[in-house]
Amino acid sequence: MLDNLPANSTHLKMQVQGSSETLSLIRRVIAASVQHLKLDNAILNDIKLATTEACTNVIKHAYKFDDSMAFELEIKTSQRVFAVEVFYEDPGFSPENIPVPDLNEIKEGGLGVFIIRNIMDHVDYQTDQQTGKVKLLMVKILDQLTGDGGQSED
Amino acid sequence: MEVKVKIERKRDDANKKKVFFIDGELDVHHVKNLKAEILEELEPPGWSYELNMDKVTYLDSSGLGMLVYLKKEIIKHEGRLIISNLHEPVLNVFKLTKLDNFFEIS
Repeated sequence: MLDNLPANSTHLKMQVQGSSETLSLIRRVIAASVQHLKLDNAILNDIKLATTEACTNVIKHAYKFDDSMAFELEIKTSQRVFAVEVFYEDPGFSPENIPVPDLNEIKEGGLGVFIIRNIMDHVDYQTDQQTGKVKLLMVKILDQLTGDGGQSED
Repeated sequence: MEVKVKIERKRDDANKKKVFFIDGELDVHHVKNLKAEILEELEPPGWSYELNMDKVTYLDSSGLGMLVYLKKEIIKHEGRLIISNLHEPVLNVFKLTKLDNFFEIS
């Protein structure tokens, strides 16, 4: 899906300090990276929300707010798709162990991955148990919501 | 880059009501201070607390978690929490997690 991006695609890779202070900056970088696509606001909000949730999990759960740690974000966009990959370290992490929240039980946490899985079209964790490295891929299909339809707003 | 959350307060003693006008983005970086500031304002039983979110442009699961905690604390104080003026992107996060049924939203 992402290997043969067309010539007008955007490819951005950045290293991010593991500090929650960076989250608002990440949202602004994402908005800038897709600005030329004139996305529907709902789609743009989903992309910013999913990426922030993923980065929050890295900063809060994997790095325990240790801002000496860093992680990488790689963003690839075209008219067809928005994809963001998050590379970080979390030894022992297993995506199978992420609990599915019971929405009838009102709790203060545990909704981040639930939100990501509900607003993105494809979510995939890859882990290397030996090195503790994790790669999270999140994809949003844009096809049907971009192009010449003129439904977006400036 | 630091984006601060601002709070303005309006106190109505006659009607036992406080309104907090919140301006900013409610992610994990900001919710801790915001939670502490609002908890400091809790009054004896019978008061209402309105969070006016007209200027909240972003909210995620960390923001929701803070609001759940605040509602539980306010209930312990026999108070009432109202969340008002939610814009669609923020309201959608409540709906997605079905928390629009848990909160009093006006």
